[in-house]
Amino acid sequence: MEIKELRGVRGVIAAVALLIIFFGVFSSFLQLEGNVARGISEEYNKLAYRMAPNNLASWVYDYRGVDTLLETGVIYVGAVVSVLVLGRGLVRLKAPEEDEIVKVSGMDLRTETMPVLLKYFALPVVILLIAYGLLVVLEAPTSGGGGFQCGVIISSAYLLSVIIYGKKSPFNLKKKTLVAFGAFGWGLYVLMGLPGYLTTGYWQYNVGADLWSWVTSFPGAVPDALRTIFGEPFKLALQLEEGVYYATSGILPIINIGEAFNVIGAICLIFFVFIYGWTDSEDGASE
Amino acid sequence: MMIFPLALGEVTLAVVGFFLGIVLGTQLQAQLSRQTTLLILIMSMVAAFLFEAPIHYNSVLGGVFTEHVSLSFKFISVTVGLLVGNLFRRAGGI
Repeated sequence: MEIKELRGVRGVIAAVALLIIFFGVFSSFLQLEGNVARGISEEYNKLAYRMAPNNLASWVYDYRGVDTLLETGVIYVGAVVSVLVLGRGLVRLKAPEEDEIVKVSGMDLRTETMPVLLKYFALPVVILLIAYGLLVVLEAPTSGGGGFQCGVIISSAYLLSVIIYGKKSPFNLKKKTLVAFGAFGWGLYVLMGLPGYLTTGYWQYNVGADLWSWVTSFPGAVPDALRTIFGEPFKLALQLEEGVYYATSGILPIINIGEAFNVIGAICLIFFVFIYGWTDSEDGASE
Repeated sequence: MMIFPLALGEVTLAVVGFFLGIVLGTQLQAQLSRQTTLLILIMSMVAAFLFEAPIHYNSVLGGVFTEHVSLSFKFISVTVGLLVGNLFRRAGGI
């Protein structure tokens, strides 16, 4: 992407997003004096001290949200830089430009000579692996799932598909798609810092998702039905001996989805370049 | 047997999973035959039975039928989403 492309609406959106992020991050750093207010983990401990939906994950995102954000960024930047170094397609240095670029031919396998087991079961396995990856990220609020694991599992599905089917891989992720996945995931993760900042003053803080709590001053109360459907979409009822209690995983599921897309983009991009090489063509795998 | 969940969290993630499945399903270029589609659906049902509904889920819409028999509806909805996404791709919509 060149600077010229950032003119117009895209440039305005980029500038506004950067302004919000910088303002939020820096002002939350300024407020770091004193004790950090406890968030959702306190609710978990108070209300569901025996069994809480993934108490550990809620702690991680309460106290290490920014840390995980930076780790996510490291993975993406690392993948993109590795690709640029490996591919030499976009790094426009003078000396290498004069050299002849080494062209790597993509893998091409003859599927008709495959063993029967691979021929008929590989594709269902790839699809079920993708489904399993998505299940892992969706289970984040209640079990040991998460975005990183999901990204790695789906990358494995991509690798399996390419190894078995070669150029005719049915799970065909293209260069632009992978870069877009990674950028979307990272962007989603960053933007999920905003609810925490608006609620607590701390960036990337995991908060409950009662979207209507800040509009109580509006004329007319928000109907209960509306509050239930759109207020706390991830709330779970915990039926304990003491009675029914409610707990919410806050914005944790959305953060994990962002993380998953980021990892899919980053790791698949590295696989992509190792397998097909990197050229300036748009299609990548299907060239 | 509770049919509707006490809180929406039991259903939301299955819906989110369906849409995520569509997103990744559009990246599948395969032309699936009826037999393969059926095989995938049956395997996904078996997997959903093995994975079970998460703890804290109580309603049928969350996948819990009795105390010891439950299905991971998220897995099924993701698989169906992948197949629907693949259909979109084949139809040329995306």
